[in-house]
Amino acid sequence: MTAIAVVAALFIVVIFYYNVSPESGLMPQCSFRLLTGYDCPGCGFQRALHALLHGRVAEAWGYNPFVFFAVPAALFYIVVESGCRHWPELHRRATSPWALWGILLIVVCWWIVRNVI
Amino acid sequence: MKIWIYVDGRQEGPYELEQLLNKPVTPETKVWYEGLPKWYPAGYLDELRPLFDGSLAAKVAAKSNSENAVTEEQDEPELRQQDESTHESDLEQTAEAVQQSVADDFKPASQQNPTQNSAAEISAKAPECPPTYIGWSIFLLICCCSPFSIGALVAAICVSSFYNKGEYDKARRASDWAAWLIMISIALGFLPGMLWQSLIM
Repeated sequence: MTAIAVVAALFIVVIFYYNVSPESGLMPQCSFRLLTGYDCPGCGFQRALHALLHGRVAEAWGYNPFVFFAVPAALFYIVVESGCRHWPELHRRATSPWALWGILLIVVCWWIVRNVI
Repeated sequence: MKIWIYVDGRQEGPYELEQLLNKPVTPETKVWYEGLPKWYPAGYLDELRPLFDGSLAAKVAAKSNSENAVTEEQDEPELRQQDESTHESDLEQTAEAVQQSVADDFKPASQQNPTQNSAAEISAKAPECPPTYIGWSIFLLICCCSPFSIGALVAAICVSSFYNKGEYDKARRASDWAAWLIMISIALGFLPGMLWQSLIM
């Protein structure tokens, strides 16, 4: 069952991030940042996750505030899509072209804004 | 039109459309008639819609009320027997051949891998939402941003806009693209990144 696999994977990832600190060097780096020097939308996500797991919410916000919206949104979409038969109306609205273009727009805006500020 | 139905785990038929009114046929019942590539749920087929929206029942009721019931019933069985004797054997053979594929078609749709759905729908109603994988692409975008995860997001947008326009083939292809891009993104983004980091550590 994919649900069990996903939950198990999440569990492992959470434990991993709780124990691995950014200083240990085990966290992969962003290739976009290496190439261009600019932040990608997800830069700081791993440090943010690490801080969150240790209860330091403000610090996590400093690393990558977008994550606080993106992760629940991603989870929401994964759930809605796998259960698209149960909530057809919700799925239709949530995955309408308007909604998806809006997501792309938000991501691009965040990408630009975080490099400008 | 000779229609076969699949109820209680076995095939019944052939029936005429009017006869199906008296049969336990729901929009979910799988049916087949000559010309279809596989068994379809009755609700998907435009030809069977009169069965469910009440127009067929009304037509049958009107027919039996306006015509002389005795002569009608005497004539029709004879005509039907003539038709069935010549065509029934052919159609039954074809129906059995199609029935070979019935076992595969009866996998509940929720278990079917969306990336492997390749059945061509001819007279089916709007097919179901092809998965956009938008959730996964957002997640990947913030986990390991790469051209592939951006591509997956764009593919998800394509799936949605094609599906809305009614171009279901393109939507399904875009959905396959999205699935592949996500898998490539995970393979190329996560694993080598972690391996590389642990190597140069």
